[in-house]
Amino acid sequence: MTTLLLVAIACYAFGAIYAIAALWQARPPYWFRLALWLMVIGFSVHTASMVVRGWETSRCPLLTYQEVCAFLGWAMAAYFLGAYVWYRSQALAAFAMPMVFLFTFVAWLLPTPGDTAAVLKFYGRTASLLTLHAVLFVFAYAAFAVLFVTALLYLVQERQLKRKQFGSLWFRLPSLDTCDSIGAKALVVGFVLLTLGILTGIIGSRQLNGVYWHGDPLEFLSLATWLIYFCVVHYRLTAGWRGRRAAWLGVIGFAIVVMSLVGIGWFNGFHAIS
Amino acid sequence: MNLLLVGLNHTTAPVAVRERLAFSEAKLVTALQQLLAAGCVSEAIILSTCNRVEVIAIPRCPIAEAVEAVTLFLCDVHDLPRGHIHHYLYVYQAGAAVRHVLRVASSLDSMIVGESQILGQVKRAYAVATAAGTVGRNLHRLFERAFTVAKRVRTETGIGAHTISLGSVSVELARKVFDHLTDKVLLLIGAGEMAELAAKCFFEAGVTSLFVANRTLAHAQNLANCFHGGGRVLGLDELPRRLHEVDIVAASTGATTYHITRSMAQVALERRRYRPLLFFDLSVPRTIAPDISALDNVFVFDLDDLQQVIAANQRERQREAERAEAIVEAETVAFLATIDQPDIGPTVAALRERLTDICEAEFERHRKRLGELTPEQETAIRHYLLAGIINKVLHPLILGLREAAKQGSEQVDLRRAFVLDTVTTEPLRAETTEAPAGIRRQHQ
Repeated sequence: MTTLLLVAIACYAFGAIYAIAALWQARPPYWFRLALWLMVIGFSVHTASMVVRGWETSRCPLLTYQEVCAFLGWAMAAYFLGAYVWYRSQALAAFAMPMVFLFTFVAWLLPTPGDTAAVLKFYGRTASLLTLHAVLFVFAYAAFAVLFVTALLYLVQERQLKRKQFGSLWFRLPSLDTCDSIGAKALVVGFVLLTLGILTGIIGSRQLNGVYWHGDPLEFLSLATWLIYFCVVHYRLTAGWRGRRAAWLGVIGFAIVVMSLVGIGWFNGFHAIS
Repeated sequence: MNLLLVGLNHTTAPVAVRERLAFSEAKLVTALQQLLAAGCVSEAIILSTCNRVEVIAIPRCPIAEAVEAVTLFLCDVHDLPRGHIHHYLYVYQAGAAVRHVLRVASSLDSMIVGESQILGQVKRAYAVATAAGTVGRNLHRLFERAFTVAKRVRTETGIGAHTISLGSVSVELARKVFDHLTDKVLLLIGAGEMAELAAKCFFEAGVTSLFVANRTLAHAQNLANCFHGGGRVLGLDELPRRLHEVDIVAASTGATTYHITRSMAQVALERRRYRPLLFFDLSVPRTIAPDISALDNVFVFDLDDLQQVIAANQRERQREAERAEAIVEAETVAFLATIDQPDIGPTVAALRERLTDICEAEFERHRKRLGELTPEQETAIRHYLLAGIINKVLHPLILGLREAAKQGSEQVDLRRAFVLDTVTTEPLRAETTEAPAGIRRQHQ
């Protein structure tokens, strides 16, 4: 798995470099095409690495901290590639690739834990439900990453429009409408998945040891994440909140997501994994 | 290649001169034939646009005479006194002429650098000259290369990507906010020339719905009627009530008070659930309160802001133009390197024809000895065996000719071409042949 992951990381890294260079300098179109192909190859190899890991361990590769990060990088790559196919936004791809690289790279840096059979044994009958809980969370976080990138693009572009400062990036950013529309879809997908993830977590926890809430720091962070995105959805639907405010909330929400991700590895508690 | 270019453009001649020298397309064919009939040039293309008149020709007499002949031709065709246009003309020869043609086709020599019309005009000039029969091998090669270079410049640089007129910059800004303009509603405040220009640009960009607000409703109605589908007319007093219905506002009036105030924009914004609202203030003094740009999802651009975007676009074009110049320079050098080589095309064609004739004749001569042949066998012999032999013999010859052409000669080193001094027959196998395996063995 590690070798395959390393190949994927190399593809993501070079893809990110080419995509950013193409964005900044409007280099020949093949730079960006090259970046896209690197992303596709990286994604394919990444998929293969996860399949191999799943095959070796006979379970979904989402039990250790390393696996969570790798899975998240993969889910982000999938979402970003999908968004690119749909919207053809070069800027979105260029901003997304470094993030995909970062998460996958972190996964590679993390130590590979040895035996995970004990953890699985501890989960017992709830193992599949808790796996579903983790998968839902990871895909929700990938959607929030897309929301975060579009929010950043929105904020940069809005600032340029308001201040009438048109730098070199100006010519290559997607319109505010496009940013808002990609972000809104990612918000809906992420929020639904997060809600389902929390529900499956609560049910799984009840089945496992009879409690709904452990008072774990990660549970508080997840609740905060849910509340933030709930606010965005709520105010978007009722008060027509869009644009800058929604974008800022998207950025704050993702900051909490990142804190949660760090927390999985660092906080002690029910959710702590190695 | 002995190439000559004589012409004038917007930088060397005023419009009064350019318009007198311009060729209408109807006159072009006769003019081209007249130029060739004069005997000083063997091939010619005339490029005549509103910004330039250029004669690109292959001279068959000394350059000075050819320049004189082309200049006289330009004067005679347009009934101008001889010597009248001398000081407006520029003359380029050989490499400089190639570079100039490539720059013109790539829109680097245009009044508005990067405009896209020029390539079409160059193509048209080439097509007309081809139809008139005044384009030979040399100009054909040059212009084919010019089209390729122009396409390369357009795809590899952003030279044509950035608009630099007030109307198109407004559209560009609107697209930065809204992406698609087809379902957007435009409001014009004022019914003057500026408003009309803005409306035209937005309609070309796909806007289909229009309001015109003006103090004099009759003027507003006139303007609204000018546009396809017609616009709706508003009195200025209706603005506060109807502002939320529009997405883009272009104001251009002579009023000294604000037509749109912050409170009006605030109310409109709430009514349209904070969907973005875009204002272009094209009037001096301004008629849209500048402080409304502090509101979220409201964007206001006055004339200075638009000028700033134009300046940024011009800088971007300039940067791209520098990259395009580098491409043109490299292509000029590459073209000059190949152009002086003898063209091996006709020799190769003639060789192939001769070899085919020999093979056909020999086949017919020995046809009877081969006995009864099925149609499949006959096809196999003609299309695989004979064609294979021709290709095998021709391939080293082509390589040899090509090699010789690089040194400017047509002498092929046969011993080297057919690898007669080494045992291996590897190069002969290099070319694909569809001959059956048995025949190949015999051949070797």
